[in-house]
Amino acid sequence: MSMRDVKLCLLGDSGVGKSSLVMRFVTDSFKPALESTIGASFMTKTVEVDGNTYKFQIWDTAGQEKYRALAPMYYRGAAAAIIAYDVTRESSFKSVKSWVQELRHQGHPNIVLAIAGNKCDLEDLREVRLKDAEDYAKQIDALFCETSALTAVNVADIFTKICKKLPSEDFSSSRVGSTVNLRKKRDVKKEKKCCGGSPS
Amino acid sequence: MCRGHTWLYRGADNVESADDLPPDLRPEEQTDSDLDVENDLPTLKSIVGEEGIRKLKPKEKKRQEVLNELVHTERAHVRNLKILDKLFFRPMAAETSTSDLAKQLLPNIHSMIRLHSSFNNSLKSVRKENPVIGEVGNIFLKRFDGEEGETFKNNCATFCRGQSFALDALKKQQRKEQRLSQFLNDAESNPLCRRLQLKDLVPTQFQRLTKYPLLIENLLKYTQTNTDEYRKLTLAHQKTKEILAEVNQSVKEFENHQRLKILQKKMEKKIPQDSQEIKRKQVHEDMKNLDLPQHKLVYEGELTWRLRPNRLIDMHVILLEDILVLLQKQDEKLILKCQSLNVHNQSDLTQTGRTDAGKGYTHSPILKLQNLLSRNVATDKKAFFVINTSEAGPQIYELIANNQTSRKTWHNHINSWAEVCKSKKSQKPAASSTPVKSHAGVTTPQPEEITEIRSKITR
Repeated sequence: MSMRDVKLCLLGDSGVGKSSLVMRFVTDSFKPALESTIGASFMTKTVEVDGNTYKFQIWDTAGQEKYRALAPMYYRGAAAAIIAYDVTRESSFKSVKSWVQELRHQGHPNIVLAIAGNKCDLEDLREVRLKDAEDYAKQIDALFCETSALTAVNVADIFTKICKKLPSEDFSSSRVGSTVNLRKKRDVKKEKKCCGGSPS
Repeated sequence: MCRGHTWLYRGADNVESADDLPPDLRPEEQTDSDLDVENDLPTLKSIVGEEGIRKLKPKEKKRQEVLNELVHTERAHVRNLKILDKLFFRPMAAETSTSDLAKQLLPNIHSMIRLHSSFNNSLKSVRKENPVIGEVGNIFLKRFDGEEGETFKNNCATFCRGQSFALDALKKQQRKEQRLSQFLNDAESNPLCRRLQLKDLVPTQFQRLTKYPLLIENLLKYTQTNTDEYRKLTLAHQKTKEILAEVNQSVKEFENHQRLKILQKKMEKKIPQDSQEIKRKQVHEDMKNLDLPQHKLVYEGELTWRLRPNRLIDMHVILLEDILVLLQKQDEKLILKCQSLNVHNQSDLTQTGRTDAGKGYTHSPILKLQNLLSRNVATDKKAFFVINTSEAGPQIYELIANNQTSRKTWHNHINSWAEVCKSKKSQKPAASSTPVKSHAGVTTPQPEEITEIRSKITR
């Protein structure tokens, strides 16, 4: 079985629920006692999808939304990014577009993008139509889910989708550097055997 | 390659000697407890005991939980810095081939360790006094306010500003040098790294900085508002945000500066032959002296310059805080040269590239912002005019953006920075704060001039 490290970066306006999404995803299953971990630099969570193990290293950008010059330091080398917005706040959806532009321009060319419309439990306060967001995601070839960190709707789902969309060749977080190295060769071979047919 | 979740530091690795370091930074032997931190946050119960928890009021319990997290994560941060020093900085600095890279990646790692350690120690000792931690406002202010706070801020800026470039350099060198790559593999396999690579560990510092305001916000939630402690925490909150803003600014400036260095390298100057005319002489001087990294970058991008209805050239345009520079794209090069709107001068001018070819030019590639204003072209949604109102009479540059949004961005940037330059100039007419030498003969456009020009272009 292959184990793959996946660096994932969480972007989006302040208050859309980035940290809550991470908390829901990470602690739902194995750290229920943890009250708050905003002090940690990033969190990890291991999931199994189609017989492969993915170890997510989740970099939450909470608290630094204003400091745009620092953002590239978060998404540099990230294999995937979730851009979150709040379905009850139109302006937060607009910011998604600027993040997408920035990632396309400066991020890794193969970065897997996912858009999460969070707080979908607040149906009566909705400002962003599901269809608009869906269409936009399709147009830029990004994964899309409406999520609720509160009710847990689709939270794990979006991470599973990301796993399935990752290019079969590990491009950013191979554990062992990028030069010729026996260990790496072995890793790569192993990986091909396991997930042979690329899911994409 | 699975590793356990917990580990104990055994101090088995060889460490370079570092005699120049103060005692608390000498290579740690088996006893550095800072390296021995559990990854997971310990429960509050394990710290204050069951009895202690039962005595806490709900709000105080929440406060203690935030403090517990603060103490734990600060300790973990000091550990991360020490790991960077011990496993990466010291060995790399000791090798000639990697010492520059080490200094680029972790320029002032020892100062950072010292600064965070003192904060960490203050927190540890307040907890030692009483596991149920009392007031912490003073500890925060000691680190983030006043002269100490300035030192901290400056060191953080130094540490973080060149990180992206340093990590790029690391990647390049790693690809080229088998030895470095092997060294990193070995070092990163150390259980202390917890499956993290150097490139994942280096960002720890700025990440930590983003957490302080959040932690203090949480503390404020559980602190009585009419207390001294509340006022101190509020000030500390403000200070930690200032530090972040400063680091952010510093990163931006550093990266823009690097970018200008790259552009300067790509730039090829085609300076016209000497001229007797004072005005032309000045243009030539400006071109000769143009050194992009001496300016501050505001914005850059691709635009098309419409010299005549059927004569379009692709440009790379750089907006600096005081000048606008138009560079002609030619393969990989960016050419700094004068252009002519007149048909007969033009034909051989772009082809030959000879220095005398620019004899009959009409338009300089360097424009002073204080003389500029931008206006939209009414008949083309993507185009805008840049009007240069020098004493020799207004000159118009017609530029075309890729789309309407881009036009809007350019238009706004040029006008707002031109405003800044104009107001700066009117404030202090003699001394220019910009590195470019100001010269005589440049006048700020008068309002009536602007109206006149505007009436010319808006039909």
